[in-house]
Amino acid sequence: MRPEWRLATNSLSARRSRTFLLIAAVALSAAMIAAVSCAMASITKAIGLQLDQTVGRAELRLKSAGRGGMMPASALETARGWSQTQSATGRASGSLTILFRRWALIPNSEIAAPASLDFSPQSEPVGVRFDPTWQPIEIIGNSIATGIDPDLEPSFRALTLVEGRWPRTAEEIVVDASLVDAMGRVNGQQYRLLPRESLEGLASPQPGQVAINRKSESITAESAATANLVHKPKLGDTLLRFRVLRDPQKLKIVGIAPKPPLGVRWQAYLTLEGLAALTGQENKLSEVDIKLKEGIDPDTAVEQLRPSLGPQYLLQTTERITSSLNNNMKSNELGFVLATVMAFLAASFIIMTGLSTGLTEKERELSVLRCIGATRWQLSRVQLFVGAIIGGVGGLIGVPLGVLFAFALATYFREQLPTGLHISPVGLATALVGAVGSGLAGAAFPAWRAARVSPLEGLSARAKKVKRSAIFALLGAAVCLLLLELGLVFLPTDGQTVFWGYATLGLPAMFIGYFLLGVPTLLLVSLLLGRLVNAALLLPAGLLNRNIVATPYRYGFTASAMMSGLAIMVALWTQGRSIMNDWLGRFEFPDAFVTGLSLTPAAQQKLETLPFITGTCAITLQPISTDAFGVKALQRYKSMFIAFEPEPFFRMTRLTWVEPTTKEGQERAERRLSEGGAILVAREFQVAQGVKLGDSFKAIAEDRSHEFEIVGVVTSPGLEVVSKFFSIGEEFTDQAIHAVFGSRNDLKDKFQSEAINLIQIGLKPDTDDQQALMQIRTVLADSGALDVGSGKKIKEDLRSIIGASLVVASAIAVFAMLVASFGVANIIIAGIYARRFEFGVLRAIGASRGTLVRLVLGEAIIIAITAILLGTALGLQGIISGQRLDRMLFGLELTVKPPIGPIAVGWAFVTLVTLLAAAPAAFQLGRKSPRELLASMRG
Amino acid sequence: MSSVPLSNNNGAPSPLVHSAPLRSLSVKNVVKSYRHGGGQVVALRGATLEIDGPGFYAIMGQSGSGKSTLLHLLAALDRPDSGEIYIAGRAIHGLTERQATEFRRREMGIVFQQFNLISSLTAADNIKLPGLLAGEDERFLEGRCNELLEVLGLSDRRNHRPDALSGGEQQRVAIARALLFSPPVLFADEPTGNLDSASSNKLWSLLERIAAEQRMLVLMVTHEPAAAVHCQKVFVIRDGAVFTSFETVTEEGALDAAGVAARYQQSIS
Repeated sequence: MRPEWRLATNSLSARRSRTFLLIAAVALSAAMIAAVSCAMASITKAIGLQLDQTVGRAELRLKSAGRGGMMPASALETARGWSQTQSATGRASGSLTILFRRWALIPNSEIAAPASLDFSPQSEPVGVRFDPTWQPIEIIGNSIATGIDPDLEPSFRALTLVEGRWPRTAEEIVVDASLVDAMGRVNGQQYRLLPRESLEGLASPQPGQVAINRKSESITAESAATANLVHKPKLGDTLLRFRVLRDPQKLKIVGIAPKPPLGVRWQAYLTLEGLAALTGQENKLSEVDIKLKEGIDPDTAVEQLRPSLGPQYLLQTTERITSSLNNNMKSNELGFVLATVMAFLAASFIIMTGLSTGLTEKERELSVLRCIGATRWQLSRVQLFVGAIIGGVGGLIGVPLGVLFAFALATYFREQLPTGLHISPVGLATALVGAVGSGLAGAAFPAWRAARVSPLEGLSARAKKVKRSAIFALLGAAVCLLLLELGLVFLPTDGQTVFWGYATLGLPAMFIGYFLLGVPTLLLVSLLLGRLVNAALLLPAGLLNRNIVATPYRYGFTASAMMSGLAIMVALWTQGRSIMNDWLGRFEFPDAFVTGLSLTPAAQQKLETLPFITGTCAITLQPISTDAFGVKALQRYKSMFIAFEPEPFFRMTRLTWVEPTTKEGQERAERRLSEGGAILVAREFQVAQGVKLGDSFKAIAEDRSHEFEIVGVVTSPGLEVVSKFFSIGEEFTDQAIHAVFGSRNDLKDKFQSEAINLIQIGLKPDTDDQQALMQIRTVLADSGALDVGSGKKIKEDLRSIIGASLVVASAIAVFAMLVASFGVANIIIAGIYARRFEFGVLRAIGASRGTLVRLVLGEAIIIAITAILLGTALGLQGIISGQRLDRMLFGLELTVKPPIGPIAVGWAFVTLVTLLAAAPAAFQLGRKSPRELLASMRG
Repeated sequence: MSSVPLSNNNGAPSPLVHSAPLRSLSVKNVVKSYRHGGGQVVALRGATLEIDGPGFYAIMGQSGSGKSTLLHLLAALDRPDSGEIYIAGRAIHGLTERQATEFRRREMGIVFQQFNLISSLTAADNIKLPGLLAGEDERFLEGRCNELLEVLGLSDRRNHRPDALSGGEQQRVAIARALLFSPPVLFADEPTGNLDSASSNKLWSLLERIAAEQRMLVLMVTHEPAAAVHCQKVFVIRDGAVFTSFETVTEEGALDAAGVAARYQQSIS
């Protein structure tokens, strides 16, 4: 092994800059994989923590069958009476509108557009004024409140308080740290200014060392934020529970809970009695957690106990709740695996091209080694060692870099990830092994080529003519692979077969196919555009083309290495635009919504009294299991059963009927809904599953299954999207997509689910949205409302979320292009080095320095154009295949309309990056004298 | 270059010297052709050559006569289409790939016109390279390398890379590499093609000494009469066959360069 290792290390150290570039390409790929794996592990940990806190140490959970429903408190006694029960505790859930009165420094930015809220209909608005002293304000916020048994709760729930203790009396409250932090801020919060005397007994703080903007003598936003945070709620402070037309109720903070992860809504904890006093729901529980006696199997216990419970109750093992999270994570893991494979495939292509180019340059050396007794296998091993070293060093550098980047992300998003960075050993090992693997894979072809070097061939200075048959063979192989991918996607009729065929074979085949297509495409580009580029760069006629045609493999594979990033960008933006236009654009959201865990009919009645409201419709949301969507082996998506009173719903909602198409048919369908046993399904069901009118649909919820007749197919008004937007459920365990529509009576009869989760509101034309929402909030502040939103705003927010996601995802594409640029730079340098004698001859016979520089840049332009063609085509084929999958797995019908703007930016970026990668080597070549270049033939 | 002889103190050859048997090199009716530019080029047409015993020999011929092709076949760098080649009694024409590699490693040395050193290795590493490839003991290689460096006057250049050596020094490193295992034969393909006349003279003298003191068969391809002066016999190749040969030492005395040139011209006319 010694000589091969020595030759490998010598070879790498003799070409330091090129070695560095190849290692950098691998390191960046490894860093990306390591960062993503740590990010995923951190998110999983955060979700797991949330679940731990939610599920706790209980083995069984008893709750109301209907979503958001309450049970009588006697259910707790029943559970305690079971012989299998060791202990049981009950909880109640509700929503709470909390006020916090405090002193605050109002920064200048707030003066211009204060987020003040006057929610007392009778009071005069308090004028906003600038005054460099502290102002009394009242901050308002909504939280989910949980009533607990303080004696038993700590033994059931794995939630350790940051400070203080659990509440013991009805006047005590524990709040979470994110609520505390939010109430320490003024910017972006809802608040109103108070009269000075309202904070009697609480001495006004001095301005202290607050930074002033000297030009305007105003307080800066940053210094105000720092000063305000000091006055956030703390142990012993008083919070107020808002009540309309009554004095607020006082609650003393006795404990602070950790921040819930992932932006979950604020949490507050009270005693059961305390919550009942606030919500008016006496002797009601949301759930009962049960610990079983030693040795009792939870599943067996459920089977034994369930028959004794009525249909209004649901008894589940807690393992079942957590297992759905694991399923969701599995699909993310597959995506991670695919991304890893693609990233390292790209890196190995870069290494392969770089090493192959180096091999061409060292053919003479290889021949000499054969002459003095090296075996073929020894020469192969040198290449494999080179690949392993590049991969290994790249991995060792990239993995810590990735962890560092993940740490930076976890720090930046510490609000959403209170568990901090979690390192995934499997992910890091994958990154390292993948890096070494990509090095070895990239070295495989050069190793094979090195073994084929004959002792004599490399010693003769003859240039080898490129065999046309080899180019055609490459073209043929590429076309076969691309056709294979298309065949795997478009020929099978079953979505599951298409998915697995695509994931395991089709996607790699497509990638490799386009990679091989680099050489024939380059020759085509050279043929069509070479003359133009040659002339534009003032090069001697035919020089550029001749250079390219002489070594098409080097340039072609270089272009292939550049294509991935652009392909990602093309696919992302095309898909993003399709989602915006074809999916989001179809939704006609109602004017406004109110959401809550369990809104009361009284809440709906209060809304009906507001003069600007034309109508309301109470809606119950129930996730149901269905096999219609998703990849079965990975993740079962739920759908949403949206239940409403048909008459007000159809009056208010602009549903688009797919079937039936006639007015009579639609009216008949509406009547059938009112009669019961019938549903409408979203169009996606028809697209994915081919359902039609009269078919039977089985809805399964909480182990109860009922069949409905399909009486219509409609374009969804997006209510399931709205509910996700307001995050009122355990969305990370219940991934629900698309919807079916039925009556509330049916849901109540069949699934015992009747809690109102959403009230749809119609507004009069010309109503000011913001004013209307403010009034609605005020009216419903003590009616269990969690959120109030405008349909128009939701749509705008969704657009900006999708837009922002596209920008973030584009960063990945840019990153991929930068990784490739290291490889491109390496190959261009290697190519120049291999041809330095030729360049010396050109200089010797009269070519100027500028000619050589422009020649290399011209080659880079041809490479860039080829990369643009390949990347765009790869992206489009990927999108076409992806949309077939969307159709078959999710019922989404999206059109392929690539947005020219972002794609053109991608093209420009590829060109720029390629030229920048080539420029340093080109200018360095220009600086060398003819003698230096010609001396390369010596030895 | 060092004046230390290439033998031990008693003038006897160093222990690693092979004593070459009679008929050290034998080429019988060797034919070799290549595919070139779409057609077939016959480089050797039944070349026949016999060399008995060690010594310094030259093959001369015009460009395209087949002299380098013949040398390459002798060095087992390629295989003849037909015919036989024996070196030190061993049949070279039928060697397998593995056997040819082994032969090139230990049984012969070769020196090229373009030196062909590994640019990323030092002079010492270049010399040791065949031994490293053969898996030889590092200490043996180090000792042998030092010996060769001293003999060839390169001790103070051992840690220099090829780009820091002159042409003559590079060629001497190449010779040292070829002599690592003291092979019975040493082939040189236009070894002075890239050297000036002074360096060339020195190199020819060195090869002559190696042949004499190491009792090695040294066969050099050249087109320079001044090189052939150092050889004891010149084989003339023409149109792919060994046409004739002549001794450089005649009854009238040793031929000089002009004499060799005249005899060569006479041979081919």
